[in-house]
Amino acid sequence: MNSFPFDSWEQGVELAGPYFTWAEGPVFGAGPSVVLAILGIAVSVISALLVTVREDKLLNHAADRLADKYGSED
Amino acid sequence: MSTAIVFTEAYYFFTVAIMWLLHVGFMTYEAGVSRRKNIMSTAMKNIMTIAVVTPTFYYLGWYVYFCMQEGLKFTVSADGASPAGLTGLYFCGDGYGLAWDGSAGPHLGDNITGVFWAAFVLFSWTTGSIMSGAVIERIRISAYLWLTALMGGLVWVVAAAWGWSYGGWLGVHFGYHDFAASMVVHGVAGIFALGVLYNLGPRIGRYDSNGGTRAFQPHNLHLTLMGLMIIFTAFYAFYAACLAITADTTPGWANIYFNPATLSAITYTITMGFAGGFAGGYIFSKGDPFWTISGGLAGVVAVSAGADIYSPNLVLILAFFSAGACYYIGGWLESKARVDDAVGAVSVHGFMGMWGALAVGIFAAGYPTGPAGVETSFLGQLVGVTAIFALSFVTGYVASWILKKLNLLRVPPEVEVEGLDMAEFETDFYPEFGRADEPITHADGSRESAAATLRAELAANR
Repeated sequence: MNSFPFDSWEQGVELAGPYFTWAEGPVFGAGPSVVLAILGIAVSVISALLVTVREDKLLNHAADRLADKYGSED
Repeated sequence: MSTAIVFTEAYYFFTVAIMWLLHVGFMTYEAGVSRRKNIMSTAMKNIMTIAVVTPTFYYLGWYVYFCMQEGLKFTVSADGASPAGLTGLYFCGDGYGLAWDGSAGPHLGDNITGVFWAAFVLFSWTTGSIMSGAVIERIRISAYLWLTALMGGLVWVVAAAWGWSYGGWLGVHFGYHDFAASMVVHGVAGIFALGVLYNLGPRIGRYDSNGGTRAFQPHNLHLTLMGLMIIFTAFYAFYAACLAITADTTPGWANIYFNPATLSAITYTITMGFAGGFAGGYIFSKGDPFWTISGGLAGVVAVSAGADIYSPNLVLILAFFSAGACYYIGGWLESKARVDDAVGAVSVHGFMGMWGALAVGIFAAGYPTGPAGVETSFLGQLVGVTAIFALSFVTGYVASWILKKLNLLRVPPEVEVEGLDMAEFETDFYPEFGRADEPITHADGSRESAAATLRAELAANR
């Protein structure tokens, strides 16, 4: 798939417009750029959730392991 | 493309590159302050700040900055003019700032947006890093990341839209003047951290049952001092990035409100500010290394709001006494208010940020600020400080309260006493030294191994 938005670089310089991936056309509110943005947001949010869940498991595991050590000397 | 545009592009690019050192410095500084059992979990927070704040700002903050300048509502206008009638430098309404807009990526007719955006991102990371130090040694990394995403991607951005923009209501209506972000970066971060600290609570063992304060020993104070010196180097780029280039009009530079300024003026201020701050920190703390170097930071934070207009003599004096005030406020917060802020961020950034903004209303009243040329006044500065304080404290308190209720704010007490690194990474990052005794200094000045005290406090917490 050819995603280059211009016929040539010369035309791009003349139009002085955006040239990043799937940025062609009026993109405000619609188009492939919006889909890319939504995917980017999804990756960010899911990453944050995964970090939270992973850390929670690690800490709970460590707390269980340490309960005997600290509990036995109370 | 004109030479001036390309120069502007290069200028902001290099301020961004140098501002990276802020985060090298914050990581080094905080790792040095932490006890050796918490070094890597402390550093990991600083690294992951970049991972979460950058996309939050890209997808949300950048648009908010342009579209919330009139208050808490989005004020999108189809003709590109703000509700206050400003045009030209008011971008909200045509999609500018949205992640799918043509300006949000490579653009053959726009050399500036990307580097300008990046400078804002570096400011966003800075707000996160400021809070980061205050909460070390007991906060979950993930909790910190949610909080820093909120502050770095939204809260400080709203404050900047209000008080650190061309069309912000504080500047347009009240002449609010905060050149290098005393309040909109430092104040926001310090006060947001204060809201978080109320819910997070002190580290186990920090206070005794008689109300006395115990001190933990930083594992490497020299590392802390070096981290702050790196931060100070990057501060010059932070200041430089607060200027706008107006190459075709005298004097060639403007502040964020598009009033005339010069790079030379702010260079005087930051250099004299560090000098006065170090001197004040040393004198008032009686030579304490931590507060001497923190005094330099406090001094510069206190003069940042008026950095484009202050006399260097005034800067030296203000920074000197601000460093002293910061030392006493830090002590009061620690021992009287029982706010366990591991690095003094609330005092250095929060209180000195507020004071810095208010000081402009005292020492630089009458300077026309903003597109409407409203004279700067103490009342106008007070309005700005009050609005931004409320925004910062309430959001920090509520967000951390929610995390606390979800049991996601703080690590389990056993993990805190054992050390976060063993739980988070299951390894000791100084294995060649074994687990040396951790010292603790009691309220009466006596010093001993912390093990027995921490175990007793842990039992009392159950």
